[in-house]
Amino acid sequence: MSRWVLISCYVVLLGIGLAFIAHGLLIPAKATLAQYLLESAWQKTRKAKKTAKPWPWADIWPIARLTIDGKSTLVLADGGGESLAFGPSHVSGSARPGTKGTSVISAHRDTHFQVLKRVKPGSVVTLERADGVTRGYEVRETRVLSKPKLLLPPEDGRDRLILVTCWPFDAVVPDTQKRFSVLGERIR
Amino acid sequence: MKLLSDNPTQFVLRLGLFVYLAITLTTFEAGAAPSFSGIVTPRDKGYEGLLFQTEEPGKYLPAPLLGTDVNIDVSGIISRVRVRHFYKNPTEHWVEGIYVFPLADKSAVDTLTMRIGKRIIKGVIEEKAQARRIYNEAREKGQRAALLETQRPNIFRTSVANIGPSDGIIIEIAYQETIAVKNGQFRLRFPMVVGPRYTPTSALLAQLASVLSGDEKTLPETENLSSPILQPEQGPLNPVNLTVRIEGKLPIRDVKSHHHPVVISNPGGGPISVKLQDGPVPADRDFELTWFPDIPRAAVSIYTEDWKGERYGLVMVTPPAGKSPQVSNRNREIIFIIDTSGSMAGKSLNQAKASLRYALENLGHQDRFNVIQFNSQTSSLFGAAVPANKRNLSAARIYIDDLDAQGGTEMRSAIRFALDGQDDRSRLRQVIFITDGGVSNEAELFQEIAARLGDTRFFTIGIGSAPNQHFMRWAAKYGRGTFTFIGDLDQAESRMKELWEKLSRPVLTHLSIQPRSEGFIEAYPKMIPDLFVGEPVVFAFRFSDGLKAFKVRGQGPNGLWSEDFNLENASTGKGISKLWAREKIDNLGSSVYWGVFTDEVHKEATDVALKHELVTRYTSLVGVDETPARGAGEDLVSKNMPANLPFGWEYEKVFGGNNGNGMPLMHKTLLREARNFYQTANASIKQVAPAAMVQGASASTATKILTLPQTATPSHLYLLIGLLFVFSAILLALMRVRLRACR
Repeated sequence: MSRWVLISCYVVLLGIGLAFIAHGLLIPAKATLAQYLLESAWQKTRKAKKTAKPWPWADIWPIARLTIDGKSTLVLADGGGESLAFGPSHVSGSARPGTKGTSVISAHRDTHFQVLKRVKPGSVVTLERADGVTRGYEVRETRVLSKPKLLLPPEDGRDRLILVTCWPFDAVVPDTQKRFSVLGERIR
Repeated sequence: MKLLSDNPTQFVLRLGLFVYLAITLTTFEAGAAPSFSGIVTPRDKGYEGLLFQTEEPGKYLPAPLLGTDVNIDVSGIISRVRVRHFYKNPTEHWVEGIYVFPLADKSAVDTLTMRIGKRIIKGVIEEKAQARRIYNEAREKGQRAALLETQRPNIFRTSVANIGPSDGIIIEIAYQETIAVKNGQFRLRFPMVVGPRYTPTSALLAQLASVLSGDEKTLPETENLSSPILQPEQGPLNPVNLTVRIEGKLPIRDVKSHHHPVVISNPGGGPISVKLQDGPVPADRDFELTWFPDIPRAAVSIYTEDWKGERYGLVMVTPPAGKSPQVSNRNREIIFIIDTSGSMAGKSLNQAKASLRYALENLGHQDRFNVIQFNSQTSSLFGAAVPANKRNLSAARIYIDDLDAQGGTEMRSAIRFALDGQDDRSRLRQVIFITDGGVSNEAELFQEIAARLGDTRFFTIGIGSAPNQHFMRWAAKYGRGTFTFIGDLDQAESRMKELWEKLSRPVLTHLSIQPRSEGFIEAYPKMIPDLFVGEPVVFAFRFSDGLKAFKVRGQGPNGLWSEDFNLENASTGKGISKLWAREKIDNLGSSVYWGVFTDEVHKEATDVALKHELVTRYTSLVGVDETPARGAGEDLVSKNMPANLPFGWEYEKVFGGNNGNGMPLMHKTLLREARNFYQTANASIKQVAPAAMVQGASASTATKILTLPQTATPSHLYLLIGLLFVFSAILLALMRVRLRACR
């Protein structure tokens, strides 16, 4: 009798554990898988010069391709938080990526923007627009913001790209006020 | 405007400089955490060190000690405030003290007195530049001098020259103001500290004209706007002692101080006296006192004063008491204008939509409405206002759901569309304008609103984290409506509800003041807002000698309303002429501010200020002790008096890092940066047309501060928890196997 109780205890513990692990793995899996689907949508977008959605019921769509340290991801139009699960997203209120002024792109620190860890002043980040134009931005500075607020630099004719993600990178608890930001200025 | 009269290159450069300054000021003064602002350019890594270098790190002079004593005498709705600043110089140097301090928005400052030992020097009113000259001259000659100036309606600055080693000087200023009344409650507020202030870019841009026309005095002014902020460990400075006396024929009740513990006494049934319980307090939060006169409707509503052979008066018009009036018997027509320009994209538009939906749901059957949207173009749901029946409302709902934000901000045509300029008192027509105000042609828009308003009332709702509040406040003022600010989506419903309550029950509209007999009456404010329940309006007026009574008329819910006010048995009040002058200058000033700047207006405002001895944007008080105090060989050191950081603010949060000297240094760097920009940006600016520059600037003001999304996933956390569970399951299993083996 007590044996069965114990066994069911293991099973329950194991079950809960596996469920959590699955949940934990699902996040990076979703992030990776979405990028594959987005890739085909991006190709369509590029060809048809019209936004294409990665899957029929999606409310996200790619607007640019971002390459950091050899790793490329597709940037999504701002979807109010939901889009971040699938890719880096444009922060609304800033300039559209690849256009004049300052654009801001944010992504999860543990998926798409894990790569920001390796970015140093002098690194070059490239951004390809839907019309095929590619822009290069040289990283000038990285900085930790103590609050999730970003003041945009003044419009002085320089085109900038700011990449932001949560900070610190390897923290386990997802609740943080701090943000890591990378400021790039257009060089081509 | 003679903007392009002189050298065009010069013009473009000035414009660029100005726009740059405006933006950097905005970005800095929004006072957020370390950030990418214009001051800290990426290449300027060691900017903090650089700042200190200019001021020599480690070499500080102790600032002159300072204390403040405040006496407030309240009589009815008028208060007379006397503020004494104590300057003491603990050093062996001759110093100049500069202290920036806030006063209430409508304070009419008329007195400056300097006491040194037994000598008393009275300040005289002079035209601003002239006062500055007198002061500077005295300073150079080694005479003791004091100067009281204002830069914004509510921020004043005293400069005291030649405070000798170990010397003490008392500077006394005095002003009048009216007490705010809301729902029968009287409210007195004494502001104690100048916070690092958010300067709306638009306000700065609005000064563009004067800067460009060569009058660059406005630029350095911003440099001196704030005092340095003390590091918290230096302890609070500037102890303030404060007493309030409330007299009047009426008994009052529920006297309450909101932020400071006080002792309230009423010796022998005389005037009520309010004192700080624990003596002087640090000047780090505003003092606020409220009370109720002990009768339901204040009879203390009219005062007069004879001043230099002229007669002045003050009247508080309280909306007729009684049940909440009905509006059903007037035709209500509500026009919604929604900004769908690019800057509204995302959260702002969602807030705007939520507010709109709330409003639509609360329309009555008999109401008429229309929805107008504008970005680069203006379009509307219906050609003209339609009844709020089921079919029209559902069409509106669909229309709102589909609104999408993109394109420019062309407000003008939308305003034209909404305001027809007709004056029909039987209808109640309200325009509700929802926007983030990202525009730069404010003057033009205000003129449009003022000219076409007619009987319509124009209410603005500011949306988003950084709306151009200045524009919206003034648009509402010109539109005789109110301004509502909705900072985030959660507020949308409650704020809309408040506004809606108000909109549904204006008590009196179309207020006017008329003499009852021969004679004239000149009353301010000129732009009279509608009267809402619980919010009386105060007029200051000048009237001809023979006038015995006047009448305030308005359109009430049940037809014409009027009330007679008898001037003969009014109580006498002191300082009413000053309040009147202050209102009049404000009224003139509002037109000056917005580009209708003429020499006549300037002259008229200056004349009124000089006559009534008020410190204004055009005039300052200056006092000089003729006996020279400082010998020719000794140096004068200029110091800013440190101000306390407003209570509850964290030093690092505001200034980011340990920049011990606060604002003026930032401004110095700013000006230096601006100068650099002035030189280096030469090439890039030349190619941009002036108009485009301004447009660009305004576009950026709409998106100054971005809120960044949460970008951490619980992925790691889940994995860790999962592993923990699996691990404990395995551990348990192993233990069991062991146990069995043992057995």
